[in-house]
Amino acid sequence: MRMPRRTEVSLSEKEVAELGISKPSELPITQRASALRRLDWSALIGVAPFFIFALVMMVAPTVALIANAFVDQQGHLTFGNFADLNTPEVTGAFAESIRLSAASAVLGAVIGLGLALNVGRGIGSTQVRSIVMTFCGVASNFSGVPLAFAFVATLGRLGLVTAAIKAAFGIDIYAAGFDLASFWGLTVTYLFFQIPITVTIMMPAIDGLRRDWREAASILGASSWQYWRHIGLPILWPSLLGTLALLFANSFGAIATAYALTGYAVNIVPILLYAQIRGDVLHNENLGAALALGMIIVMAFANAIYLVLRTRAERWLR
Amino acid sequence: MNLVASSAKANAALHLSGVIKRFGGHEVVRNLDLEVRKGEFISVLGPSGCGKTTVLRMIAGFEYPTTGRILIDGRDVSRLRPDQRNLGMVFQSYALFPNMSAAANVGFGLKIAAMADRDIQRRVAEMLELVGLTGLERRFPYELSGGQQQRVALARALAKKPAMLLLDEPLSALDAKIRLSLREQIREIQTELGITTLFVTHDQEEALSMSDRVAVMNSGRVEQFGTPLEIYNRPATRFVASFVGTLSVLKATLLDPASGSVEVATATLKNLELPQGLARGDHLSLAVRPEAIRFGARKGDAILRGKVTGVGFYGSVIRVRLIVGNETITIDTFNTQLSSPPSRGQDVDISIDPKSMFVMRAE
Amino acid sequence: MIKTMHLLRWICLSLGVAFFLMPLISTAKFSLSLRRDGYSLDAYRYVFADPDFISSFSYSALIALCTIFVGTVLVVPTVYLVRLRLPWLRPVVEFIVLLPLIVPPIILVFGYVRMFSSSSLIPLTGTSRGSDILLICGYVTLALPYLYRAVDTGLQAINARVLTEAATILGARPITIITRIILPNIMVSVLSGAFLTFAVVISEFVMASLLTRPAFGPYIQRVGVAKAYEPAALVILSFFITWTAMGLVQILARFSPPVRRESK
Repeated sequence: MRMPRRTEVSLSEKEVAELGISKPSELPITQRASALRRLDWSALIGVAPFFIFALVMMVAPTVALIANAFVDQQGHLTFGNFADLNTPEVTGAFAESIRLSAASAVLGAVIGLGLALNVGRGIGSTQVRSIVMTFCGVASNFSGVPLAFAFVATLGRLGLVTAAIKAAFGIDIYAAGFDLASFWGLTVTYLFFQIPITVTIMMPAIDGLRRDWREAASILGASSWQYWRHIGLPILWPSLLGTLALLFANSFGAIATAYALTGYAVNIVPILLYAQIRGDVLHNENLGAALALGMIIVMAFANAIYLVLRTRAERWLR
Repeated sequence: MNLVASSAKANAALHLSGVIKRFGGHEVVRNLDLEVRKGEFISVLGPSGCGKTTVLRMIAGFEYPTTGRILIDGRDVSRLRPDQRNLGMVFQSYALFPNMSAAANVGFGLKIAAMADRDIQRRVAEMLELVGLTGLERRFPYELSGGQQQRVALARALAKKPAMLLLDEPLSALDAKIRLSLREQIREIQTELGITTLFVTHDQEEALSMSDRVAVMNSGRVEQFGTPLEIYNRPATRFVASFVGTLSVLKATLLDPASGSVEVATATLKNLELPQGLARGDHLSLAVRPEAIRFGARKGDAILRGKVTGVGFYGSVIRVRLIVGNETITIDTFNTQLSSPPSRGQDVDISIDPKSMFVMRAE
Repeated sequence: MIKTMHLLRWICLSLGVAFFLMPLISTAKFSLSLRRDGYSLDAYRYVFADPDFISSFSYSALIALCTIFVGTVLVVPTVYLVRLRLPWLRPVVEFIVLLPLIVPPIILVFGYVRMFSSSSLIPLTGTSRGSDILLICGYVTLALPYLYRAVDTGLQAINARVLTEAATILGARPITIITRIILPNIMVSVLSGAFLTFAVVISEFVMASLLTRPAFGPYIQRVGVAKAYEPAALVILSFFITWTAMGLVQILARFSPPVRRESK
C-alpha cells in the first residue's frame, strides 16, 4: 500500500517539473513544480529509515498475510479459505469475541462516562480529579498477564474478594455460577483497563462542555435534567460512540489477559489464532491467514468508526 | 413626592434595590440601586472587574445577591432559579448549542415550554426573519459566521417573548465591521419589539451609541446613571469623565474665584464655571474633550499657544497632539479637505470655549 | 437534597476506587501468604532466587532499552522533518502510526513468523539473534503510536518551526539545531514516550511467546500456571515497574513545557 503511493509522488513530480518548464505561463503548476523541486532530498533521506521500517516490518508482513488468505495450500488463488472458516469452532469464536468485546466496551464506556462525569463535574475537587486522571493514565496501560493474575488473586476460587463475599453474605459466587475463566470473568477483568481508557478520552470532552451552554439552557427554561437530555449528552455522544468503537477494537485484539486467565477454555478469535500459530490446530496454514484477515477487517471497521466520530466530536467542541 | 416614587417603582421593568454581592470576603457589587423603565435600552458600562458582569449574572439568576432585592415587573425574583425568571440572554461567546441547527437553537426554549411543534416552527421562522437569517434554518453553528451565530443567539433569546433581554458583551468577539452593523440591528429589533434590555459592555462607544441610558460602573458601584449625552457632557465623577471619551488635562492655579479666572501654563483664562468652595491659590485640573478645542484664536474663548508634536489621521477626523507648557493636549478636528492640518513642530494657537471645560480640584 | 446528591457522588467514586484497588490489595496479600503461619516475604525470596527470573527480566529490560533506542532514532528525525520540511508526508505518517491499532500484535507477529521463517529469503526466526531483532521490531511497532504522539506534541509545544527559523537566522547549522535546540527542549516528551514504552514492553506476552523468546511476560505466565504464591509476587513486582514508569511519565508531564536552558 505504501509502495504505489511513493512511486506516484516521484512520477508526478517529474511530470509537473516538465510541465512547468514547457508552460511557464501556468502559474499554479509552476508554483507546484518549484515547490516540489525545492524538496530537499536531505530531508527525504532523513525520513527514509522510518518509511523503510514501516514498509518492511509493518506493511509487508501484513500484506503478505492478507495475500496468503487468498491462496490454497498448493499456491492457487482461491476464496475457499473463507468458506472453510465456516466451522462451528471459528464462527463460534467470532461470535464469542464480538460478544466479549461488545460487553466490555459497553460496560467500560458507561461506567467510565459515569466516573468521568462524577469526577469532572460532580465532585468538583481538582485534587481528586488530578489523582483519578493520573491513575487512569497508568491503569489504561496495565493489561496482559499480570492483570490476569491480579484478578485470580481477587476473584479466583481462592481470591480475597471471593472469600470476603462468602464470609460477609454467605454466598459462594462460584457455586452461584460465576467463573473468572469465563465470559463474565473476562469481561470484569477487561473493565480494569476499559474504564480508565474511557475516562482519559471522555474527560477532555466533558471539559469541552462550556458553562455558557448550561446557562443558556437554564435561562431558556431547561432544568438540569433537560440540559443533559437535550444538550450535554448529545454533545458527548460522538465522543462516547467513538470511545465505544475504540474499546471494542481494543478488547477484540487483546489476548494476553484472556490466555493467562483461561488458557484455551474461552473460545475467542485471538486465542484461536494463537493456538493456530503455535500448533496449526486448523490443519491449514492459510486458514490462519484468513482468520487474521477477518480480525483485521473487524478492527479496521471499529477503528474507522472511532476516527470518524472523533473528527465529528472535535468539530463540535472547537 | 412619595406617591411619584412608588408609581415609578410600579412602572419599573427592573428594579435592583440595595444589592450587595460578596465573593469570599471581597465585595464585588456594593449597595446597588437601579431602576429600569419598560422598553428602555440600558447599558452597564465599566472596565473589566468593575462588577458589571456580576450584576447581569444576578439578574439572570446565575448568582444570588448576598443582600438586596431584584424585582422584574414588580415580582421579586431574587431567589428564583434562572429557568423560573422568563428572561432572554445573549452571551459573549454566542453559546449556541453545537448539536442543534439554527432553527432548533431558536426553538429550544419553546420546546422546553412544551409548545406545539407547528407553533414552534412558525415562531422560529418569524424570529429568523426578524434577525435576517431566513434560509439558514438548517445550518449548524459551526457552519455560520460569528455575526450569524450571534444573530441566531439573539433570535433564540427573543423567541420565548421574555420579560427582559440581557446582553453580555455580545459584540466583543466580532470583527469591527460586523460589530457596527449588528449594533444597529440589535437596537432596531429592540425598538421594534419594545423589549426592556440590559446591555453589559466595556466599550463606551457601544454604550453611548445604543442606549437610552447608561450606568457607568466602577469597583462595584454605579458612578453615574444617565442619558449618553449627560454622561459624556456632564460626567458626575472624575472616573466617569476619564473613562468615557478622551480627556486632556491641564494643571491650573485659581486666581479669582469670583470672576472664575485661573492661570494655566502660559495664559490666564476667564469666566470658568467653578465648583463651590474653592479659594484663591487652589490647584485645579482643567479637563477638556478633544473636539471642544479649535485651531486659531477666537474671541471670547480661552486661548493657548502650543507646539505640535504629532498628527494622526483617522479618516473623517484628524487628531493632533500638542504641548502646552508641560502638558500634552489632544485635539480632534474634522478632515474638511479645505483646511490643511498643522504639521509637526509648528507653533499654533488654540481656543477653548470655557463652558466646555470641566474644572476639578487637583489631586 | 443537594447534600444527598453529594454523598451519592462520593459513594460512586468509592465504589470505583474499590474496584481498582481490590486487585492490587488482594495480590499484595496473596504474595505475602506463602507461609501458613503468617505473612512473610518468602514468595519474593523464591522469585529472586530463581535464575530464570533474573535472566528473563534482564532480557526483557535489555530488549525494552533497544526498543526505546531504535524507536527514538526512527521517530524523532521523522516527526521533526515532516513537521518542518515535508508537511505533505504528514497524512502518510499519521496513517502508518495508526496501523498498530488496526493490526494487533498477534497478527503482526503471525506475519513475521510467516515472512521471516527459516525457509524464507530472510530467515530471521532461524536464529535466536534474528528472533531478538524481530522482537525488537515488533515492539517498536507497538511503541510507535506512543512515541509519535509524545514527540509530536512536544515539538508542537515548543513551536519547533519558529525555534528552527530563529536559530537558522542566527547562523546555526541543521545538526546543531537538532542536537542543541530541539532535542534538549523535547527531552521531557521523548523520556515520557520512553517510559511508556518500557512499561508496555517489559511484561509483553504474545510476541515474545510466539517468537519463543525467554522474556519476562512468558515467564510470569509459566510460573502462574505452575505455582500459587510466586506469581502474585511477580505481579506485584511488575505492577511496581509499570506504575513507576507510568508515574514518571505523569510527573514528567508536569514539567512540560520545558524550561529553556542557556547555552554556556
